[in-house]
Amino acid sequence: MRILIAEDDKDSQKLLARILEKENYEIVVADDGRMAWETFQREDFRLVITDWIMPRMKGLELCEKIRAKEKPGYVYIILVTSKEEKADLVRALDAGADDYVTKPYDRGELLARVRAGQRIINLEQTISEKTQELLVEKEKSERLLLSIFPKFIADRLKLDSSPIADSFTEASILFAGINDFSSLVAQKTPVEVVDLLGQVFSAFDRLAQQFGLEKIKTLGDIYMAAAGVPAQRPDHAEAVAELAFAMQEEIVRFDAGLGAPLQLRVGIDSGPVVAGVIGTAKLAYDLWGDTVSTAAQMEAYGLTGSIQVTSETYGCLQENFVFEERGEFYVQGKGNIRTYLLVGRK
Amino acid sequence: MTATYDPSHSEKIIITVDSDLEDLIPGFLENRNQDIKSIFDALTRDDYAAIAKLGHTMKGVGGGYGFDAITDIGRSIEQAAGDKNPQKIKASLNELSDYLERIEIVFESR
Repeated sequence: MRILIAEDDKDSQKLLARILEKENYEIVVADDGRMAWETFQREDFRLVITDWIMPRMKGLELCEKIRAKEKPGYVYIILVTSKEEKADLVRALDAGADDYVTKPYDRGELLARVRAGQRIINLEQTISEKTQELLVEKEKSERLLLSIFPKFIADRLKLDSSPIADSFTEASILFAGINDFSSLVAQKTPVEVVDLLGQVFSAFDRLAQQFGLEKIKTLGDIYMAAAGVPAQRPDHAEAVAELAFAMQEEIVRFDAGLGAPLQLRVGIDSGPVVAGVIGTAKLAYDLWGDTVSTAAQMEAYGLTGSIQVTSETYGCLQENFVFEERGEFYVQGKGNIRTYLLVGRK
Repeated sequence: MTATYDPSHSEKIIITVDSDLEDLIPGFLENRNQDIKSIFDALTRDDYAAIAKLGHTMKGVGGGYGFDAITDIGRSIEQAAGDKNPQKIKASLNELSDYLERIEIVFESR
């Protein structure tokens, strides 16, 4: 360990240096307080032994400056004083000194105090390393949490672990399913299927992020995303429509080795939803309500390569997008509803 | 480490010093002789602040090298300078001079 000695008396310098060097400490000597301060700023010291009375800068000021300096790692300061200067000692300890030794030096006491300082420095180093490790782990947990929940929800869960259920009056829900996925599963190994799905969904994740949508979950070959939750946005339907177009363009880039490009069925509905996190295990941010189940049915009974939407979504988009009527469509819980195929932008 | 110094006796004073400090001792003692001259000079100028500082330094360094008497004499000089008492300062300097004349150093490994 390197020790900085601030001492103006040559005989005291030599004595201190000799005692400490014999114990294999590396010593740097400064002839006064200011020189010690300049040396301290330039070089790395974790332990400083400073005299109290020195020319140009006294030990008190040196202590204060070292404490005020933002440097990584704790600096242990031992003040050298005379037995008569108890009042000064209190001031020095208040100024940031950790310990003191009295002159004339007692070799045993001096070395014991340096060793005590070294223990404190080592403890601080350990605490600092552990804190850094904790910060890294916290960052990992944070990233993991944000990969599961929207930031807004993650922040709420960190403050309060009770269930979250928020109502949203206007949101759009998208379901996208790979066409003829069962044939794909039959012709590929499970590893190949999972690898392909991983690539497809990763591409969809990037697109959802690009358009500011919230990916909700995947279920088998189904990808679910939403706009308007948890952050409300007036253009929720437009955002979902843009994602749907982008997904349709993206999916044909994947070659599953079946002789034809992959194709998607996309279903969209717009309306009120409840969003939240419930349960106590394997938590996930999910959506509930008619809008969700209707959007799922739009996908399930949609046309290959098409984007099927409800009249609610059509109502939101008709000014700026081009549709084809698909006709009446039976939806469980709702009966017959009119549906449309979203085919382009105006 | 240091034999008790009694100024009323004139025999040699045996001081046992750590052999690690052997090469430093001549310089240390030379500096004390230099202190005597400096303090006498300061006395001619009534510079008691300078005398107090030299006494303070002497007090702080003596015992660390094994010369407790130098620490004691330094303390006396510092106090006398504070009292602006030239007679006491001179007496302490004579004491120091006598002490430096009589010491015989034995180096011993720790």
